[in-house]
Amino acid sequence: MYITGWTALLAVLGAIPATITRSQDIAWLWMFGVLALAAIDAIAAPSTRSISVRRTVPHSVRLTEATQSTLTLANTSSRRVHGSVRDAWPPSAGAGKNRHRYSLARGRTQVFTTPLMPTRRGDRKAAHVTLRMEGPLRLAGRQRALPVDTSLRVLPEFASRKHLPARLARLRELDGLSPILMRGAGSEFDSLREYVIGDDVRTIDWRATGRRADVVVRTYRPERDRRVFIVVDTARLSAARVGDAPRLEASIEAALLLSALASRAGDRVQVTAFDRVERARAQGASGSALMPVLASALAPVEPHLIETDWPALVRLIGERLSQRALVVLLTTVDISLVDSGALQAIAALQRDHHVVIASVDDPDEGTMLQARGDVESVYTAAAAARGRIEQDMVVARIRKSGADVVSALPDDIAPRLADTYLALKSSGRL
Amino acid sequence: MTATLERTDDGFVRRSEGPGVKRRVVGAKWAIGGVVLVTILAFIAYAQRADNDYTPLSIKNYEPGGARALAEVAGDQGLDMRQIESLSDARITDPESTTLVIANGEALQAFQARTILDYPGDVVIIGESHALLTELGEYLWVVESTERTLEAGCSHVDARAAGTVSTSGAVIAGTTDATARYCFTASDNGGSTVVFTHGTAGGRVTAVADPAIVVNDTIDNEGNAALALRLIGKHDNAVWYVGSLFDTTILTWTSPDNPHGPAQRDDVPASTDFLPPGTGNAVFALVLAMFFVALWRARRFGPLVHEPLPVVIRSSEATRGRARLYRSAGASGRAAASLRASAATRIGARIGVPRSSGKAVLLAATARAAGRPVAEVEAILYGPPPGNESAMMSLIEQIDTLEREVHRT
Repeated sequence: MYITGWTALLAVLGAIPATITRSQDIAWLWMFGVLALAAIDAIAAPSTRSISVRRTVPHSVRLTEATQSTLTLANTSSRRVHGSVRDAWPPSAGAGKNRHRYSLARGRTQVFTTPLMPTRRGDRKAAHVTLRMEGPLRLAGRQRALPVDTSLRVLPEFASRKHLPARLARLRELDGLSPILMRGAGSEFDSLREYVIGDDVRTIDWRATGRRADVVVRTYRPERDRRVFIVVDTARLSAARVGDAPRLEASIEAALLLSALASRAGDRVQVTAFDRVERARAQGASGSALMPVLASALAPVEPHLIETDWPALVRLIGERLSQRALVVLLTTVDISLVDSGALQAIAALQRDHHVVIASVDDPDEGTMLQARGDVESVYTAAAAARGRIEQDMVVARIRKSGADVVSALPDDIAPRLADTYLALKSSGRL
Repeated sequence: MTATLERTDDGFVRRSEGPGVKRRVVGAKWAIGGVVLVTILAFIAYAQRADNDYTPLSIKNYEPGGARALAEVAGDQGLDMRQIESLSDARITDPESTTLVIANGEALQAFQARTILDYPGDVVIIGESHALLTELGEYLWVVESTERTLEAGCSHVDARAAGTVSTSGAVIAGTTDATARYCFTASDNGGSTVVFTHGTAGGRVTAVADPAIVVNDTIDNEGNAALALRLIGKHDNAVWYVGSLFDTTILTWTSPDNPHGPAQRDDVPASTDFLPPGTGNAVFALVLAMFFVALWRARRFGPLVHEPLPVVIRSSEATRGRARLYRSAGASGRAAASLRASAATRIGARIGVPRSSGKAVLLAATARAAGRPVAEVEAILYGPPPGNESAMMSLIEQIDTLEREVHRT
């Protein structure tokens, strides 16, 4: 049940007879009359069962891209109905105008669209579709909220894809495919070709040269078909905000860029989101199929306020990987890694694989370190310095076990990690 | 209200069938009964509403401070009593047979008091009215007496009939002209409860100092009722004025020298303000209409939507918390050690001294880069911890200077 603005206006008009008659009783009578009229109108309004609703959205949309929710109303009753409908979405779905007026003859349908512009990654679950059925006098009507299940998957933005072309160009250079005068980097034997001036004389294959009249050199290319296993840590440290978003967002960006790069380089990529249990998993896909699978798998991942179970992660990686691989841990390097068993886990992984730890730094820390002026800011600077020293200590211990550490600000972590991958690949350490 | 759904063709859904009107009425019988009961009570309250008001000394007020008891008894005795809220509403057409009672004249001003004393008929003044008493006699005012029961003590017929009155202690002190008679005089300060005198037009004026004579609570004490009834019941009619601050009008009556007099009572209602007639009713209707406006705006178009929000703690909170701990503990030594160590690390990175090479190498290289003696650099980077915060602040200053010097090279 609801009343419209017309009822309020009608009630306000009661001031006129009250003024003319100078009687409060007339004012009371008028109001009761309006109330009775509104009640009659609400009873005369059609049932909310008269309308069937269908709401459809695209399966997924990338963050910062616009989409729309389509609402179809069908009048299944035997009379004309009119009123309004609200297509409710949570604020982070970025719904635009979501209230629509309808007027449907018997058996007709009408389609409304609500523009959506999601502002956060994840599964955006739509709220109710609320129907208002207006009575014949337009004074009041019936209202009912229908819990129509609709969900829109908002994929990570993958803003770091702008770094991809430059890294792919580097990759082609490594492959020896680029038209520059150098042999392919890497250690895997690729092919033999004729010597041209400028080639490294150390690559001359004397045996092949002996068989032929020309001088022949060997070309190399980076190893292919290596395994890359990316772990996105979703435990408590991934929930903290760095800049404008949780640390997890930067980790996902880095995972996406590295996966895109590694799959183009011919490596097999697996991604898992892990804290105490596995929260998401993407594997088996390759080539162009990989990125949609990966984005969709990482879209609903949320931080959990628990501590990472490092031994369980080591067991999981042990089950998934049968041969030497590059294991990338997207986590946070701070003093808590020392007593949570992370260092032992990294050392254990490093025995069978090559481990890279990628850590998202807090941009605030840099400014805090520079803070001067009063006692409070100096203490802040001291605390930041202490944090930095502890972090350096942890990094030194991780490096001692042979693993690599990449730490950078949220916007830089993805390209830095990609560069580290390329460096490993060109030096044949994969 | 949310509904359960039933699926129709092509992915459409609609509300599933409800329990039916009869079931719903039975289910909501308590609510319906409540609404009916409230409506009946509202109508009863509405029917009873006009009978009472809460203005002190009003003849419709049956609270202890009202004067309804007096009005009812006087009415039974055949007195035609009428209450007015503004002096201009009086419109007395026959002053000879109408007693004017000023029941609550505290807010009256001098110009109003003068018109009241010009009234040719009888006037009874109840309670304190500064303006009226000042116009009546130069030295009349109301004072407190300790006596509560007073004898008539004079020869006036009304006072003698009453005999004794019970008051709350207000008496009129001072004297007016020679013809005035003072009754129920208190022995402690000589003030009188009732003063019989004359107005400027020759009408009888009776000033009663204490409203306790007429209010419902105390009218039945001693001879209060007798005195009150005799004072207001001299003639067939009485006009009972209950004043308020908003009344700025003057008394109106018809007299031989003004035979046309004021307009008839029912012609045009007197208004104490300058707003058009009916404005109050319009405002009242608008206030009632606000209820509908509130209903219209308050009804939500479907339930609230909740947003699962992410954690909003900044990563730097941990560092800030540690800074606050340092501050509250006054840990200047530890804070300085952290800043020294981080400065040494940065300087070492800048001039290419690896961390593993040791203190002496770093100090020598730093001194060379900054162009300072080694001892001075050692005091800055490895000196004793500062004892207090001001020492820490000056140490930070030195560290920053050293760092700048190294970075310049």
